[in-house]
Amino acid sequence: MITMDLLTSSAADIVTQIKKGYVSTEEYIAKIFDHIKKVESNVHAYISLNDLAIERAREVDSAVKRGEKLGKLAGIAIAVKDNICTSNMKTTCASKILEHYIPPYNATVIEMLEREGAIIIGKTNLDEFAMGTTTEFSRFKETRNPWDIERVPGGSSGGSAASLAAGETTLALGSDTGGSIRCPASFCSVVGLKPTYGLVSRFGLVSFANSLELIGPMCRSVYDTALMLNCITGRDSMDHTTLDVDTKDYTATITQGVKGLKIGLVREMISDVDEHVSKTIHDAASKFESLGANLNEVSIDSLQYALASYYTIAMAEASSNLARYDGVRYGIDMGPEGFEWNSYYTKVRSNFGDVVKRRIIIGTYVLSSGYYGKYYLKAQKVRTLIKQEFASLFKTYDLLIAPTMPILPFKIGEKTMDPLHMYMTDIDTVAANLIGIPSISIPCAFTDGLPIGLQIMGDHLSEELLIRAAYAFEEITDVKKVIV
Amino acid sequence: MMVSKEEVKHLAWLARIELDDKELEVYTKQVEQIISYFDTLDKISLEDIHISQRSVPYSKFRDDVPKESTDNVLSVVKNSKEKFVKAPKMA
Amino acid sequence: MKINIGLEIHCQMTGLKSKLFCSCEADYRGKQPNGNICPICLGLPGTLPLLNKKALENALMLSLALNCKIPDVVSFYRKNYFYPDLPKNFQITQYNSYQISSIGSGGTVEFDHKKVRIRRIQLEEDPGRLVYESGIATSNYTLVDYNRAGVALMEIVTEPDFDDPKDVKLFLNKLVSVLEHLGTCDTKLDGAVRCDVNISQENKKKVEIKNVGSFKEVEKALVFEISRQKSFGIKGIEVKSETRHWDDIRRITIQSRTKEEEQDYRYFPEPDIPAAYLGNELINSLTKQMPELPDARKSRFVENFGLSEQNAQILIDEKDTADFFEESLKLYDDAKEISNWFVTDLKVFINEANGIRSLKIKPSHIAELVKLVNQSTISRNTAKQILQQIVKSGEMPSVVMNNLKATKISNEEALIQIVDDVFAKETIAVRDALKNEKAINFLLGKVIQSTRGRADPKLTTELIRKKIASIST
Repeated sequence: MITMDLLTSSAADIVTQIKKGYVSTEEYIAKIFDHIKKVESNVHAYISLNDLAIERAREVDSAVKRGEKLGKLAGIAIAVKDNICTSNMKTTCASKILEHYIPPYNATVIEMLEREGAIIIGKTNLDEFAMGTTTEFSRFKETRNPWDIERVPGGSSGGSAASLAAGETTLALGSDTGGSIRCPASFCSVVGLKPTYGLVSRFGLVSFANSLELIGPMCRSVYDTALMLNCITGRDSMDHTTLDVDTKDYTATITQGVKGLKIGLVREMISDVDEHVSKTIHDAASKFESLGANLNEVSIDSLQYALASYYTIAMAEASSNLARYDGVRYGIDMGPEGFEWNSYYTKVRSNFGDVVKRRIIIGTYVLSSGYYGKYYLKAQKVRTLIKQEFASLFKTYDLLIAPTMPILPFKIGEKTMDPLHMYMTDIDTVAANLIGIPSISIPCAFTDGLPIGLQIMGDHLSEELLIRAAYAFEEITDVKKVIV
Repeated sequence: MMVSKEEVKHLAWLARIELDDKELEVYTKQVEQIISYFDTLDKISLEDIHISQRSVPYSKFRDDVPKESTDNVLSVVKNSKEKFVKAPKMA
Repeated sequence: MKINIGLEIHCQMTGLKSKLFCSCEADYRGKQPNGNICPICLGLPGTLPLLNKKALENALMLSLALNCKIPDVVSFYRKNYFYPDLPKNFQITQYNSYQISSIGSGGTVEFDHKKVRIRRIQLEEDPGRLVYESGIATSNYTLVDYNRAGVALMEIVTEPDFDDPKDVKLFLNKLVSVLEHLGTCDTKLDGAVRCDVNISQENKKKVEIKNVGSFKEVEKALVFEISRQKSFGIKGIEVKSETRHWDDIRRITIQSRTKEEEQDYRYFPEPDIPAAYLGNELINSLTKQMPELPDARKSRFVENFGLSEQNAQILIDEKDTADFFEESLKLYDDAKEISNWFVTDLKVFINEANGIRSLKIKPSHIAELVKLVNQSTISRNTAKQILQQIVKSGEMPSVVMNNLKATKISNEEALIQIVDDVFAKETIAVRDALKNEKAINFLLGKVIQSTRGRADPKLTTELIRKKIASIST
């Protein structure tokens, strides 16, 4: 037996040891559960834990003993955002509406990860239906930022990010509609990737805004991110919006560096940000230069309209997606008998939290007759405009960099009263969702004990390049990613 | 864009969401604030922009082959009677 | 008074094997409640619609058949409204207000030398089915069966080009025949077709009649509604713009309770289904695969078989009838004689049985029947009797004929005996016949009656004439 800290090691290292039989999967998983028991009362990252995880760990161990061929993630603990369907576990979306809901099927990504031997250890907290930037709007609990439990972990995949930073898992899955992977990755000092729209199947991801969102890996290292991405990409017959692309080994080119790459620092994304953030990202830009990249500041004029476009589209789609929760077929049951149907629906749907109700109402507004042209259609046109501007930049630049978040992790409760102010914090992340390009957030630095994330964006399907640049940066940057 | 309480009430009805008087008050203000923010889209000229729409060859869609669902779909239903799903009354 | 009538027709694609957006069986009929559902058609969280490309092809075929324009790219929209039969509380459909999204638009259909314009043809999903144990008003709850939810529907919308309910009927007959020839919709299945009708008189408000449950009822509903509106005119009452529905038991239209103006469907493009690029290759290959349609078939019947337009029309009105006719023809080549049966005696049985396939009769029966008549083995009257029996029993005509010992009496001696008997009984008629040639028919009828139709009419007439002539001299 070798000595390694199973709570903080990378998936790549652990899986190697498991396959060699040097690490017992059962011990490793049990250790994680012990640690969860110890820190959950401070972190509140999980909504539910998987009772079958230990059993699955034993299966991996006996497969190792029998010398069977093992998957890429054999035995690795993975935390799953609770808006991704799991057939043996509740999938609540942190909503009262789905509090006891157990889906009868697995999301495609779950099937793929389990096929590679990954073990789901639990379902993580989020803002209700992934609508939020802080994970304060979960209907069950407030997840805390492990680096400062007075502060938010970011959101909406706050539970996944916090569980990684607190050593409560080795890998995690998040979903990103307007920054929901990258924001908490930035706030919790972990790596989070939102892949190209269509690269990962959405089948089994409970829809908030279908045309914007995707499932993506969240990890404590760029290498693990590549390893995990290897397992979840590809066309899915259950999702027409997936792309016809071959699966790749994103670890194969990971060490190729950034020498000679043209990188643009996006002016509009850094101009109005917190001064610590601004300084840190400018420093990061210099680091890329020192690694041999050509760096320039670039401007994308239409970005000033990105938030309005994003929120219009996201709320419109949400208002329609969330119509299905009426308490008849599944989810919350308030006993329909005796109710007139409209009043039953209204009673059931009043169990949505404020944030969700408000977004449904605004989404209804922008789609209602007379306003479609004024809001929804315009938002789509702005989206096209932004797409065009980015496309022309990508003719010259290989990658674009920017802060992930314009501010540092803030105190819990600080911004909950002002929705518009809260939306503004998404200013740097939404563009990637609007146009479907990949974007990764990687730990960049700490200032006053609080993490700052660097965002790297690339053209459609440039994940390989993104991962290369992120890895090169990570290699020369010493930032803590876990606190146990 | 001004947003009235009556409008928000109607929107809430369209979305089958109940708002009490206090909520209606707060929501109306917030909706107006957010919609006014969306009005920034009026500042930009978009006439020449044609929305780009992803299209895929029709052959990529699903073949007409029936398959029985292996998922235990009815396990999600709480209220049922003789295999029917029980819903509220229509009148 | 000028009337404008427009139709909005929904046809289930009964020719498909699976539903529009999932792999559940398209044929939901006769299954136990909620025994034909999956996570997708039940609208479970996280599921995505998977478009059936055969449904797209079928709708394209219909669009081509109704002379519609086909766009390069078709797309889907969400129509948002709450209703307990709707699993997602929105319906995936198509919508042409912001762009041409539907499969067909701007078509024309000719029928009976008239024309109607087709506004659009689109694909959409059927909702589930609501059941009330003790009537809608008194039930304390509603039971829902989602087996039908997600079944592919074609919506066909005409411009308000009709001005006569009779034309509506003729158009619907033609549409049914086109659908049958394409094999996309079996309109005879219960609930496979539904029709909304809108009527407006010149300068008056539009009235909609929703959900007429079969094409046969449409004409009746229209006739009722027009007379209702006319009587309003006489009484000086203004016709309201409203939605009504057809009560097929009481045979009247009734004002619907739901208020349409409260609806705001908030259409927007379905984000889970990318637009489908069709391309010339697909259109060309579908055009090649296009089966012979009713118009072409009718012309062929007229030109190749020498049938009258009218008879050809009756034959092609139902594809099964036309197929049956052609199959019979393969067995016995006398188009005119065979077609005569389809437009006369056999037509009565077809109408009663709601289609020829419900009868026990086969093409070989008709072929043999015509052959027996042509060979003068049986009389036409006997053939009619035989037909009556074989449509129910499925026996071959020759078998029935032998059983009846129904061989036509063409034996002159035997017939002379019978004619003599009739002349002896019907002395008054004989006297009439001496004065009036036409009265011979009465005597002929008596002879045929007394032989139960077996007397050869030609020979009998000849014999009667001879006998009259011999009396008068």
